[in-house]
Amino acid sequence: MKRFLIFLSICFLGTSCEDVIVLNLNTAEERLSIDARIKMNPENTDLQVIVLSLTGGFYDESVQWVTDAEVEILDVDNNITHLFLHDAVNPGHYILDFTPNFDVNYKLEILYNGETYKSSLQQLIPATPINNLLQGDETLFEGDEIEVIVTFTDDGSREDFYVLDFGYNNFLATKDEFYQGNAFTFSYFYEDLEPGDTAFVTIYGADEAYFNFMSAVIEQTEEGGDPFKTTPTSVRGNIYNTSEPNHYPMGYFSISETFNASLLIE
Amino acid sequence: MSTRLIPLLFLFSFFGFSQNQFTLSGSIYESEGQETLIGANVIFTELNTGTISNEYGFYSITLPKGTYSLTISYLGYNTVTEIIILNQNVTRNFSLGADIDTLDEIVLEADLERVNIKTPQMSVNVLNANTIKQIPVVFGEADVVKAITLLPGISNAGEGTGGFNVRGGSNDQNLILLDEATLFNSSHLFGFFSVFNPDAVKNLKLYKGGIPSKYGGRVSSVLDIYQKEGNKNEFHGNGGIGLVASRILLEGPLEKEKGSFLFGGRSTYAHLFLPLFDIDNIAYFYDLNTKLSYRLDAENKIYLSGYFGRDVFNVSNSFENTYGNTVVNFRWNHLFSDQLFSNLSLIYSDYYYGLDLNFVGFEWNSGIKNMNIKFDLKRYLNNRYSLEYGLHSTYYGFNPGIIQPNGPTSGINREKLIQKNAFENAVYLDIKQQVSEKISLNYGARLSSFLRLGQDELNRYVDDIALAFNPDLQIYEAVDPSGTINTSSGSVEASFLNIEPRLALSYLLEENSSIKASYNRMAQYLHLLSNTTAPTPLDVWAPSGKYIQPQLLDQIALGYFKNYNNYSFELEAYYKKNKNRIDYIDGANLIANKAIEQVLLNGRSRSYGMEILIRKNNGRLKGWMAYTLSKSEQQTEGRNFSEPGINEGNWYNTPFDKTHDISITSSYDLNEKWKLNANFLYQTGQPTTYPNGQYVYNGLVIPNYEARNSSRLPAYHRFDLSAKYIQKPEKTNGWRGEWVFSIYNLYNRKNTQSLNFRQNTDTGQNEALKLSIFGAIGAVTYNFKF
Repeated sequence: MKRFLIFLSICFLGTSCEDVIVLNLNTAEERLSIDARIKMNPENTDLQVIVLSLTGGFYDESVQWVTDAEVEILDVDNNITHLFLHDAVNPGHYILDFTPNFDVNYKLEILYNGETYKSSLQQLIPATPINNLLQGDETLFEGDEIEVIVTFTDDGSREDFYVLDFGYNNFLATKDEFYQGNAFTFSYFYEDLEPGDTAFVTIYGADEAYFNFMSAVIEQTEEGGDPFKTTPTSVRGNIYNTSEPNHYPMGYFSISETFNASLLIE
Repeated sequence: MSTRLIPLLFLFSFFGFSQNQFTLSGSIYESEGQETLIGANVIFTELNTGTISNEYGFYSITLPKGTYSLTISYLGYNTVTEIIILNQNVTRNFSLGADIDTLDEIVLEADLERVNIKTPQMSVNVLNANTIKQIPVVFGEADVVKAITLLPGISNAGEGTGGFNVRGGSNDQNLILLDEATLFNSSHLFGFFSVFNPDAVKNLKLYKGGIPSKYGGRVSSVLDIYQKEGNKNEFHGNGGIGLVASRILLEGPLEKEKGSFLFGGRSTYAHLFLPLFDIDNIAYFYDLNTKLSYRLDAENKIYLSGYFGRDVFNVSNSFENTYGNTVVNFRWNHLFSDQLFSNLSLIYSDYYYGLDLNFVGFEWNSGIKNMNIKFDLKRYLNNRYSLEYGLHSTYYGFNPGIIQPNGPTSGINREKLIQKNAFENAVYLDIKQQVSEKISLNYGARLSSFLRLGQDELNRYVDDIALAFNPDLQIYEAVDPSGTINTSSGSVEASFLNIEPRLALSYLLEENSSIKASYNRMAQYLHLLSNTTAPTPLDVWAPSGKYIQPQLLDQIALGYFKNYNNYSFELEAYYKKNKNRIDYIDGANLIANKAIEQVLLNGRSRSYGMEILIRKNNGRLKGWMAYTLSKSEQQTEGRNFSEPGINEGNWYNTPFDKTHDISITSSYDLNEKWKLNANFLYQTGQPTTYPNGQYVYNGLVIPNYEARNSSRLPAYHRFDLSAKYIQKPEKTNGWRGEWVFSIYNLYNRKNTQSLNFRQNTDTGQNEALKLSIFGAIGAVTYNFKF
């Protein structure tokens, strides 16, 4: 639905325009931002990365990495602690060789600046392999998009939510509500791809809460001119601050089975 | 229920009869085409009393026996004066000839005349087709909704958004009636045009407050539009050819002076040229208006009217979208006596929305249908009393959505979201009473009931709670239903009953000025599910029921009105309080949502403001200046102490809160051939939400936002100019043409439609991007009549 209004007015007289303007924006107090996406993909290594940083002003150019936190994932059912270590090469990155298992409850715990952050219990969520990727020749509003046709087969025995990562910061959250158990084919239109580039597509298993979180995040980072856009808000994730509830963190802790596919654009 | 009420309704017809009084009644027409005139003044000069013709041109007044001089007047028409000897009941029809010199005047009759200064009705604006057509608009296309937004208290959510907002109310709170039939969507092409063909419109009345009990079902306003009936004497046509749209209207007699037809069509055609530029995207609309009227005899008239409109978008064959209204309406005017006028309407109306997403293999349609019976009576007792009463009954069918595969290879399963049905009934009584020379009253009430009927798979929840609050994460989460039940479509799932009192009074200070006050309570049982800044055609209507309560609104308004020789002055203040305004949890997805109760919270809203309208009604320079100072906000608190509600439970600005709103519109007759028009608008920027931070997640730079709607877009203002050239002003029949040259937004102000906050993909730097829709736009339209 992107750029719908612009498209409409161009259809008539081409009068709409977009300009970058500089606003005087306030900056809210700093919060911890947690990017904790635990993946299980048989083809990849099991090196897991959790990234911690602080929120910054909207116009800030550099990221303040958090290098002195204590990060661990608890296997609540078996009472095992998986301690992540800060990667000296990549500031803010905490790493561990770790493979999650299905049907086990995990919890993320972070100690930072004397405050404890905990996530709700999470389990490994299954995904489904991508059957194939094909390049199509349809376009959308702009007329120069690259169409990639994605097919995957939904598991008919359960209610599924998926997050698809198309690379180049393109994401899509979807649920099987209307294609339960079917081979589902749809087109994704890349705006900035050119022949010779490769489209990487990763499918993540998600639960409903993660689906909701990613849907909100995707909507808020999409470009404008969308009449279907809702009032933006700060998107709350599944991690809370047990020491200082008002000082809640941003971000999410998820554990997903993932599958990849890629396609060289012609 | 209805069968028991009818005897009650007729009861009102049989009191207050007096022997020494006689009734003068009839209809008022314009002489050229025998088109009825709505709101024409019938004034008894000596008695300083009178009445106005109703929506069907009928008037009736009962006075003591005597000889009176009578004046019939209607702006833009010659005034007729007659001596009437009232020693028996008299039926008298009047035909007013167009006053050639003043036909093109800005006509804003509102409470302009002496009688209207006296009537308690306030907060109402009346526009006729001539006024609407004179106001310069974008692309040169005359537009009803754009015209009313120039009046005080009325605004919209900016360029490229549909609908309008009245006194801080939302879009879905406007009752839009086209020949008595409810329209569910008032915009074409996302508000670039409104659905009303200005050539087919005879008269419109917008009630912002003091709403008579005849109207109900929406809480904010009533836009009551009557279409022309068609010329009963001879065949005529008119139309226009513009840059983006053209229109044609044909009218003529079915049988001379008895029956007439009217047929109008309108369409944009810019899409026809797009293939020339190798653009395979299409966006267009069309609409058709038809009306047949027939006078059976002096007591009976019938009307059949229809409206059909569709918007079509097609984007590279990937995406196809069609939506619009359909209305069919049969009406029967019957005079039970010269004092008792009735109208029976049988109405079918629907709104259809269809979407075909080829790239997902997905077809979707949704909509709302309603069948409506209205029986309205007006009893003219004497010159001090009149009664209006009636009964309205509407059956609604809601289609929240049907999803189906668009071809054999699609992976989509067919799914029909559960259809919902409801039944809305109302009876009303409205009494107009002239208490004394100085005091007039309008009072009455509407008793409305809403029955949500049984359906399949109605969700049940433990303790009826469909939305839970997670105190750790501080977010609302959907609760899974404990089960579903199927109830028969004849059973009542939930029922509501409301008494809606209405009261208005006027006090005449002196001959030309008055004070008016009004109170109204309104109930609204339908809700447009929308959490976007402005409603979109995709939004679906939902009925009240177990999980959604009807909206209730109370409004009080006070006003001062004064007429000078050439000027009139209106000052009004209002306060509105709206209960059960639904609000949505953050990130709620409303489209194809099978359990909407899982994302709703119950809130409230309020608005208050002051409106000034100064008009100049005569002379070569005419026009008005409207200024509104107002506030509109809403609040959704938590259901208990541990919940924050929405926006931490704090009041926040609605998207249509505009502190200052100034419109100036004027016309100047340069000479017989040239007429100039100008508009100036200034509005406080629309509330919006700015980011107050950012963070990185999954490679995405995600903005964090401050409290809802706590900042504003830059102020909106623009200046429009148009000039009309009449080729042969002296010609009164045959082909007559005129050219309209217009420039919208003359000084090319890049007004902000929205701000978008994003990361620049090339530099990686965050930026705020301003979208403006219309710069300066010139347009030429050729209008003709024959």
